[in-house]
Amino acid sequence: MKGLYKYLPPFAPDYSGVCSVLFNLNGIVIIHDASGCTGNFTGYDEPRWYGSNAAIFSSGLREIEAVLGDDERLINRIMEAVERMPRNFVALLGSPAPAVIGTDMQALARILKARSGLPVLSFDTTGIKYYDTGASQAYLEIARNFVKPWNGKKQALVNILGAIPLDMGKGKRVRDIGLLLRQCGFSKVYAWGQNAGLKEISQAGAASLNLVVAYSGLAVARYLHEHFATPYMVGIPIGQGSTNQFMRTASSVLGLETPPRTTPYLLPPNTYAQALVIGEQVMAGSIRSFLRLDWGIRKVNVASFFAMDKELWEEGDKFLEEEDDLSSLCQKENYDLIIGDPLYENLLGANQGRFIHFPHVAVSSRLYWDNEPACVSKQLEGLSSKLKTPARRT
Amino acid sequence: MACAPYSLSITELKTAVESGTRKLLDGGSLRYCPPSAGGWGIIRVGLLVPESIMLFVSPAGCGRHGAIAGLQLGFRQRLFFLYVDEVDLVTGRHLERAKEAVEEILASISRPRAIMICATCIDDLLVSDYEKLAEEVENDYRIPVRACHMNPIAMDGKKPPQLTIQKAIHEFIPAVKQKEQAINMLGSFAAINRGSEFYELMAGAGVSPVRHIAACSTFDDLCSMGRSFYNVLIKPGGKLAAEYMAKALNIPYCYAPVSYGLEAIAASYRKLEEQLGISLDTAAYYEKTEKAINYYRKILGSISIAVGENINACPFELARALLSYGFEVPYIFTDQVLDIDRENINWLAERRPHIKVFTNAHPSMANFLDEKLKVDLAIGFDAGYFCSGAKTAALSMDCQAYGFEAANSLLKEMTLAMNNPHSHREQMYAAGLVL
Repeated sequence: MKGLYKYLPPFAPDYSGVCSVLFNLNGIVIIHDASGCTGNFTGYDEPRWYGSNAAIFSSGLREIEAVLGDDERLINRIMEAVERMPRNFVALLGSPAPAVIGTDMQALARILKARSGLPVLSFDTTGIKYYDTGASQAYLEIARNFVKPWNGKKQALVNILGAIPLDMGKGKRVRDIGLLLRQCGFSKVYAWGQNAGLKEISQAGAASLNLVVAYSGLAVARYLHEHFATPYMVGIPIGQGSTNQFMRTASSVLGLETPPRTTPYLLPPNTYAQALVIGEQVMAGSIRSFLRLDWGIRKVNVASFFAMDKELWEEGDKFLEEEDDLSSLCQKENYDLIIGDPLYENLLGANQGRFIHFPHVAVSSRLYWDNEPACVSKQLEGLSSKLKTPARRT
Repeated sequence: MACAPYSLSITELKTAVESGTRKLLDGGSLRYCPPSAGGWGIIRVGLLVPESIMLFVSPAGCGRHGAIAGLQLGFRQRLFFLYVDEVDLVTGRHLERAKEAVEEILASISRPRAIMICATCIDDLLVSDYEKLAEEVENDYRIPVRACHMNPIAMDGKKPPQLTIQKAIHEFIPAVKQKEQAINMLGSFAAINRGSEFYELMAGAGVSPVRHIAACSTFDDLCSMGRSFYNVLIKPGGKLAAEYMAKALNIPYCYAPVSYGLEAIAASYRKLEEQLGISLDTAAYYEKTEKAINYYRKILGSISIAVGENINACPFELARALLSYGFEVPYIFTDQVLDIDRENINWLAERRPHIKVFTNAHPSMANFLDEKLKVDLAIGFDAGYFCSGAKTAALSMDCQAYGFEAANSLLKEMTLAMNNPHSHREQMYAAGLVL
């Protein structure tokens, strides 16, 4: 039945995606809610929340304000916070309740901007859509509001786009990618949503390259391409083959070369005939490249409950609208290797092939966020040791 | 530059309470949600109904924390989600879809004995009639069905969700005319620890059994609570449930709270004697606990303790108890002030006027870790978070101490935390707190 979920938890919602992108930017971020939505983000979608001083708040919406449409109280609360804690900007996010009463977030943002003198971003998030949509909007908004015009020469600067913990974990993967990019000649590596502050983001127009590591970074990469003619590449370097390709491409942007290397297949041929990777499209596609280049598995499909971009789509890929879609797909295709968040395993039949756990914070939240498998470059400790032995089928 | 965290001295709080304040943080501020915020949550409490399932009807995001906590704590398999989309919001068709969802769920699992259908804030605003929906589903499938609400938007009203959920889970109990000399305990999420003297005292006075929803392993056990002649409300969160049961099931109640101070514990027992018409000989337990306090006081020394709100106690009563044991309490973290706290606030203001009271929720708490408050021990995950160098005793809602055993178990937990501290972060995330 459409919308009925018996096994999987609800995935990270759109407002969590926005908050995650804005987390390190020293703004005042307000989710217009009664506090439960904010608690979703702070408790279950943001591994960096513990010990941080990020100013992400609930508006404390109550029935009487909602019924009377008393937006002045919200504005006053926000202004009180603005006066108490000087920050770079204000962001106002919707949630289900303001969606029902039709709160005009953009109008509120205009009023707040006039009163506070700060940039004010607004997001019509509803809790109905998923984090990837919210994160994508947030990346675009910060680019539109904070990237300065640039007409000078391009620098050895690369922006990593889409690097929020909901997709990329707590930071190690992004740091590992940064190390590779430095080896490629980039002296400045700014990961939006992780280490880059507004000062770094403002210089984005000077970048020679943008690297998209999740769907949420695609729209902003295209925006930066359109406005600053910055090329972008999509993917995470997983395994030897992909890493070689990645480094060659990234270096070539700066006019540098990396020595060509061969990529041996480390599995005996036909160990796995066909594989499925379930997850965020860019990460799943990157794992697909790894399976092809390093392990020689020819047929690898990607399936995702999250938004999928045509540019990255291959024949046989599947957008999963409902829980049942995943069960049906696996029954139909009979994959002998499946990689995805551990919670997906509950949806698969007993006679499926080997299932490799690859946690995705936007799905399983804090259940596994302290145990993310390393996967960037050649360090395949999370995946490769488990892949060498095929599953036994009954 | 970071602003100083908002706080009141206990003396200032006393004055504010006298002029009608019920919360440290009034409606004029945004709300900070520290990692330590939250409790059992509506879903977990709702699923205390034995042999039940819950259908949670909401936009996808609303149920995430409850579902993940369910996976952590083992109740996810009894929980089903029906996601509401924009079309549902406009047309209200999700109420019809909920019926279809129940049909599909029942076709895929063993028949449950009870069903809870949970609505959220949006259905408050849409004035959706979930009680009628529950009635219709019950008629369709001949399974008891009740509605409940996870609606923090109603938090400041007369029917906040943390109270209505306790009422909802007790609404499954049928009225029984023939009463037994048994009592029900209300307000807590766990049954009173078996080690409490309470059971022995009650049995000695001819009151048995002592029932609690969490001790019911079957739905029939839950229904047997209707046979009890009296309800003992031990925590304020069960007030609506107690009022409902008094009216609908003809079971009167009294409030005899969980306390940690010797005099307060004795007062609860005296109230029970009066209300139940029984005699309880508690003198030996009083003396034994007095000795235990002296013993632990010597072991622990004159430690300083911060008391949080997210605990199995009223923070002001606990602070008073700890001071009377001989410890120091320089800080309290809480937002809510109940009528029952007045006496304890007055007592504290008289004896320790400089105790600082912080609210967990004020926006200035975002910078609180810069304060680096020094205490030896924090009671509650919230106090432990804000006093990051302290050892933490959770004093969680997962087990329920009562009577003189409460003082003993508190001191044991404090000693354990001091001697064998655990990572605050790990303990806190393992608890599956839901805001």
